[in-house]
Amino acid sequence: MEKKNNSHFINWMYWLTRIGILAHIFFLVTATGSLYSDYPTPKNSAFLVYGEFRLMKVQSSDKNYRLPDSVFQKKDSSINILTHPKDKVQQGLVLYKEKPTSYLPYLITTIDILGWWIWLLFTFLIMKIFSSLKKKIIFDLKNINRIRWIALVIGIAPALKLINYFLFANLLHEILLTPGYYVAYNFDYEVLSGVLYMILILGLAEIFKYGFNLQQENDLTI
Amino acid sequence: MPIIVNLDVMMAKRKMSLNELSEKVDITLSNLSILKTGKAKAVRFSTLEAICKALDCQPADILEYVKKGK
Repeated sequence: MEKKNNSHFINWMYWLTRIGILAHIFFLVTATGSLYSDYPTPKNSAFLVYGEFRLMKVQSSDKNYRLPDSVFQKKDSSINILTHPKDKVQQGLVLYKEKPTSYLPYLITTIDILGWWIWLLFTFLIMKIFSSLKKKIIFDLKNINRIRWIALVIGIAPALKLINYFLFANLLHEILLTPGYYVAYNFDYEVLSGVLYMILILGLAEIFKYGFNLQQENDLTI
Repeated sequence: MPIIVNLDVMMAKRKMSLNELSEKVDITLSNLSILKTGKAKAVRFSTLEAICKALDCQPADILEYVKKGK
């Protein structure tokens, strides 16, 4: 009876992951498209870059030093910067009225999109694992490699985000004059949990590998 | 592997086919084929006993140890 329930669960999960991957592709295509169209951008902007950063105060020895009313002073009037303070972390949106000449905005956007699309591999691998479970293939070398790839995705995705924030802070350095302040990159602690999960899942893959060896030994005992 | 399975030699001596042996020993053809080709990792004593009984031979007639590098 328990076995029957189990196979029902696998069957349900198999179909759920199949629908999930379609939903994921739909979401990614719409999200990537919206980056260039539906974002709250003025009509005359040619390119936009999103990121998070931290504003750090410069220690000044001058007691009469007064902070300017506007923290940001743009070097270039062809660039708009929208910021939304979220605790110490600021969310920034840099809008270019003309195509940027620097490679940095393009690089940030590419890494951003890559960070979204890499999760598609995760959904695909989960689907393949349930597909093999449905066929009653459990301890398989392919499944072990799939688990390893899942671990890699979980480790890499937050790292990409971190690289993006680092590049975004550099971009702001290039285009902003911030008296009394300097722009620091937002160290996202998600990257640490990502690495921890990666180690955990890699350990799980090793347990599966041991299980695979046991299964093979059992199958090849005549 | 240094353990060589000489099942095919004994079968030829007894003029017995793989199908016939699998019926007598009650092992599937695929498992017998794994044993014959040397892909098996272990052999149960009960299987060895049944094969020796069917082929009227000793375990040493089926299994042979050859040193590595020879």
